[in-house]
Parts: sequence; C-alpha cells; structure tokens
Amino acid sequence: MTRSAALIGKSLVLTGKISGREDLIVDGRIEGDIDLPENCLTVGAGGHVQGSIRAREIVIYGAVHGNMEAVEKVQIRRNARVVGDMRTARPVIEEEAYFKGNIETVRAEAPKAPPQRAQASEGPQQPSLPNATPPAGETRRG
Amino acid sequence: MNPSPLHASAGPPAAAVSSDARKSHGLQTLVASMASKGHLYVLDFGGPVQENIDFVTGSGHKLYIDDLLYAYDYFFSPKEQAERNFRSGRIEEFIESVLAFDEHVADSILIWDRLQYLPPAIAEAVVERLRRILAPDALLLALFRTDSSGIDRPPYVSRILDGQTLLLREQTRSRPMETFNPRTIHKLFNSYGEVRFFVSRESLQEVLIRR
Repeated sequence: MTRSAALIGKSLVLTGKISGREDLIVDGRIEGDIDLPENCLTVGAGGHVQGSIRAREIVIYGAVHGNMEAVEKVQIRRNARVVGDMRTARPVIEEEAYFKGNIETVRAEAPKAPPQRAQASEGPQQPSLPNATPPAGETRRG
Repeated sequence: MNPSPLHASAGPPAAAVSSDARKSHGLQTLVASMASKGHLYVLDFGGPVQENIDFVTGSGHKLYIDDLLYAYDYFFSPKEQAERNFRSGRIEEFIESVLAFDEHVADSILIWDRLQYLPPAIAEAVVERLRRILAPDALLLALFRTDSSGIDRPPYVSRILDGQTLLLREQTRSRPMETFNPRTIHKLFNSYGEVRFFVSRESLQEVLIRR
C-alpha cells in the first residue's frame, strides 16, 4: 500500500521547523525551515513558505520566500512566486512563474553502493585508477 | 568529457533550432569571452527562461535571475508608473531593492531589451548601478528595437538556443517603449569602456557593452 503525503491544510499556519521522512504538501502557511532530505515537498497554489527548504525534490505552485536545496529537482510551476536561491541537480522554471535569486546546479548523488567483499581470493587484483570517478555529490566546476 | 554548451558554441546549431531563430553576434561574442573560464557569475534580468537556465548552469556557471520589468511593476504604484514622476529617493530605493549586489561581482550581464521599457530616469540609474556590479572588462548584452516610433510594443522573451543563436518571441502584453538610436545608446552607456553594435534582423540592434 502506498502512503499518501502529509498535508498542511489551507487554513493552517505553522511557525517553527518541520523535519521528517515523508512527502509533504503545503496548502497553508509555514513560517520556518523545512527539512525533508529524502522526500518530496509540494507547495500548493495557495501555499506559502517563509523559510529555507531542503528536500529530495521540491515542487512549487504557490509562494516561497527562502533558499531551496534539492538533491534531484526543483520545479517552479506557472504562476508560482519564489524569491530565494536554489541549489539542485535539475532546476525547472515554467513560463509565467516569477523567480528572483541565484541558481546553482549540483550533481545528483549516486545511489550508495553496497559494501564490497574482500576479493583477494577471487582472482588477480586490478590496478586502481586514481581519481577516475569524482566523488558522488561533488559540486560542478567552481 | 562532454563539451559544455559554451565550448560547443562554435559547432553547428542545435537540431531543435526553430525557423524563427536568429544568429546573434552579440551573444556569440559574449559567450566566447566566457568560454575558457569556469564558474562565472552571470546575471539575467529577462526573467526565468528554461533554455537560458540550462545553457548557463550547464556550462558550470552560477546564474542570477530577475525580471526588471516585473520588479518595476511590483515596486512602483500604478500612479507612479502612469505619471512617470518619481518623488525624491524612490528611484534609489528601487535600485537598492533590485540591484543590491557587491561591486564587480558579475562576470556577464544579460539585460536583453528591458532597458527600453523603463522610464529614462530609471534606465539611467540601472545602467549606472550595473556598471558598479560588473567586473572590469566584463560584458553586458542589451537589445534595442529600432522600430519603436513611440508606440507600445510587447517585450521579448529571449531564449538562448545555443552559443550563437537566439529565439525572440514577443510577450502578450504591450508596454510603453522608449525610442533609442545609436547616439542615445552611446549616451546611455557613456561611463562604460566600449559600446559595440551588431546588425540584426527585424529592426533589432544588438549592443555589447564592455565595462
């Protein structure tokens, strides 16, 4: 069974920090930071967030005043209004959205590989290639 | 290693280039000035356009976005806009609210056609503040329509299709537009180091200004 996202209803006003491990939809007003590093935050058309946001993915139909960081994607939909800086692997801003701020792209984190077993008995050891692969999550040039 | 869009600019145009696209020598020169440099700071005052975001950030640069006309509409009251009579200090307040950057922080500025739609006193204040924001020898790209003749026209949405190709599409809403010619453009940027004009199609003047 798939669990639906948590919802901040449109008549609700919350002040303070929100953190957790489930998707969240904001149709009300939040004055404070939101931290959902593994989940998706959606700010609905009537929603308003005044504070910084960190999530796996951020989708905005309403208003945000604060900085945003999303490992995968930030989507600012038509008629949304966002003032703040964003750092994400994939910034998407639709026409007729308002955005004011800086955009920096970062590489999406690769899934963590399972720990490798010792291979001493499994054949000849291959020489390692120093710096062949940049570390996951490395910021692009600069 | 895949070439970045900036480094690929000398190659053939992208496959998706529309027939409405035009070659932009101003853009090409600006992109060439950035090509060998990494992680620059580019300011785009034409509002968010996905192609421009992809082009600039895909080259590893940091991008700042705002729309000067939206900011103008938001800041000044309808009465102020209609009368174009701004009381003392209002223009300075606008500049501080919209262009509060450190000196010499910008490596390139894309202002597109926005200056032509601002009242002259505000356009002059914007240009002067941008001069402070631009790094020494950095470039600013502006567009001026030469078919204005006092009529209202819609501003452009300017899309970077590749390092030498622009797609300009008119927005739906017309606005009052100031008339410019090479002499008045030179005068507007007289505190800058160099003003270069590029011929373009359809009564459009591309201007590349070096700080």
